[in-house]
Order: sequence, then structure tokens, then C-alpha cells
Amino acid sequence: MRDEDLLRIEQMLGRVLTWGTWLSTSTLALGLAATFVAPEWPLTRRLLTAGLVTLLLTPVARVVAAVIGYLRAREWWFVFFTGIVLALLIGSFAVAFVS
Amino acid sequence: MTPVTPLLAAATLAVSTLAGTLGALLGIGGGVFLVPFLVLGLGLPFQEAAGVSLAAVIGTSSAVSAATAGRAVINLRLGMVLEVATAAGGLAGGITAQLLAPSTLQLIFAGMAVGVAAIMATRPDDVALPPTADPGPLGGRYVDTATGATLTYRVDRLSVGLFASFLAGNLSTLLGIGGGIIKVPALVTWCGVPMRVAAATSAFMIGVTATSGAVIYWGNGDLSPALAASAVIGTHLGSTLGLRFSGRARARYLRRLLAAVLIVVAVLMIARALA
Repeated sequence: MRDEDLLRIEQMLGRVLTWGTWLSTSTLALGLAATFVAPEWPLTRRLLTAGLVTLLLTPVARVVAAVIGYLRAREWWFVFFTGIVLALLIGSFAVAFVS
Repeated sequence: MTPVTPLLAAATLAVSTLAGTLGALLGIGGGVFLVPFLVLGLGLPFQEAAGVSLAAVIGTSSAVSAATAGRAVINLRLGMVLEVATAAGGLAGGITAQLLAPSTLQLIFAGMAVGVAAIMATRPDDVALPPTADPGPLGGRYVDTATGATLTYRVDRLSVGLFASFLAGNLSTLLGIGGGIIKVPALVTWCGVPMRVAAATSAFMIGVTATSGAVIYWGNGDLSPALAASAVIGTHLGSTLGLRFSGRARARYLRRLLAAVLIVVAVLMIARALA
């Protein structure tokens, strides 16, 4: 793999993680504040849930971005490795929420 | 689920800040401290503590890696390979839970931690290959920001790294930890990976490991959203703080800090196993 390909993939993953981190932290912070100010407010629960979903989906998005990055770079072994990890992650979501 | 008081939220936030700082410096998510603190200190049931701890690990991992990605300190290739072993370990986690009682597991863990701490504290500094040396398929090259030196390294004994990652994934859901405390010492001590690279690569991986456990606790109704929120805010603050120092701290001191952390973990584990 060429170094510039690797660096590009890493930067792409960094952007996914930056967005995910800020989005989840700010949503959760609003939700937490609302928990103490207005616990009965319907939006409170939704903010917390949205923040948690963003938190849990950030690593998943990071793995998806890696699969795409390696596909573009035609690094088939790494497409395979990241593909396995993605499949197992999706599997744990399925086990947790379907059953 | 335990009702969340402002005091409980504040205490969770405070201890998560410490976890986030350790994550930025050492590549561990701090779950090994968070779980006992939440159970023994704040009186949460184990399941809820594990859920909150895993949420904190995800927060630390994402925040630390968002900042370190693109600086050539994460070994992406190594991370992707080890992640497969971690995921496989996670799948086999249920089997371990049936074979070993938690107290036995904690005593084994404590024994290993003491041994690894001794090796880490006495090991010489990272041995750099000449800058032009071939780093091999999984090795790499990076500039140590504390000394300005370019370090070239190969990854030795990949099997040990794979085994440690498998173990980390295996124990993650069971103990509510990300497993960095297993991976970083193994990579540094046996695989020849420089401390800073091991920390950044581990911090990068533990988010994925913790996610598969966290969704299971959430699905079972054991993940308290308000406490998870406190933990995530704390880790965000803590990792920002830790990242300020991690670039300047010398690898030698980071390694000694990790050895000290391992000793504290061993004591905690023994105390819990015998309690």
C-alpha cells in the first residue's frame, strides 16, 4: 500500500471520528442538562437516545469508512479484515435488538 | 435502573475525565477503574456499571483517535489485523463466562498484570532501527514528538499481539472494559511496538471492541442514558486534557505510568476477587 493512500484513509477515518465525537457529546450534554432541568419533557429522552445512538454508530461508521477506503485503494486483504469486523459488529447489533 | 441524581452524574463525569486522560496518554479506556468505582464507590449494580464503562471507552476511543488520526502515530494496518482477533474473542466471550468464575478470572488477571508491570518498568527504551530500515509488512515509521527522533520499527511476534487482542475482546463484555490494558503492554513488551504507537493504535481499536458489548447491555436495558452521557462528557474533557501532554511526554515515563497503572489494577482485581 502506498503511504499516501494509507494517510488518506487515516484522515478520512479521523474526520468520521471528529464528527461523531462532537455530535454525540453535544447531544448527550444537552440531554443530560435537560434530565435535571426538565425530566418530564419528551425531548429529554429523545436527546439522550439520539446521543447514545450517535455514540454507538461512530465506531461502526469508522469501520464502514475503512472498508470503503481499502476498496478504493484495492487492498483486498484489508477489505477482508475490515469486512469481518463490520460483519461481527452488525451481528452484535442484531443480537442485541432483534432478540 | 438506578435513578440518576446530580451527585451521581457529577461523580461519574469526574472519574470518566480521569479515564479519558489515561486513554489519551496510554491508550487504555479506563474501564478497569470505572467498573470498580461505579460498583464499590457509587453502588451501581455490575451490569449497569459495565454498560456505562463501555460507553466511556467508546467516547475515549473516538475522541482520542479523532485527534491522532493522520499524524502517522496510529498503526492502521496493525490495528485492522488485531481488530479481527478482538472481534473473534468477543464472539467467544460467552464461552469464557461459562468456564471461569469471575473471581478466578480476576485473580488470573491480577497475576498477569503484576508480571507485565515488572517487565514494562525494567525494559530498556524503544530500540529504533536505522531510518532507512525495512519496517516489514506491519511495522512503520513515525516521528516521536517528544524527542524529534524518527523511529522505524518492525512488529515482532504477531501471534502474541493477536492472542492479547483475542483475550481483550473476550473479556471486554464480561468485565465492561475495552481491553487496552491487555493490548498495550503486550504490544510494547513482546511485539517491539513503540509505546506511543501502541497507545494510539489501542485507543483506535477499543471503541469498536466496546461497541459490541455496549449494544448488548443497552439491548438488555442495562445502559443508563443519563449516566452514559455523564461518562462521555467526562471522557471528552479528559482526552482533550491528556492529548495536551501526550505529545510531550517521553515514552519512558509513559511506560512507567502504565506499569504503575497495572499494579493498581492488580490490587483492585485481587480485592474484588477476595471480597
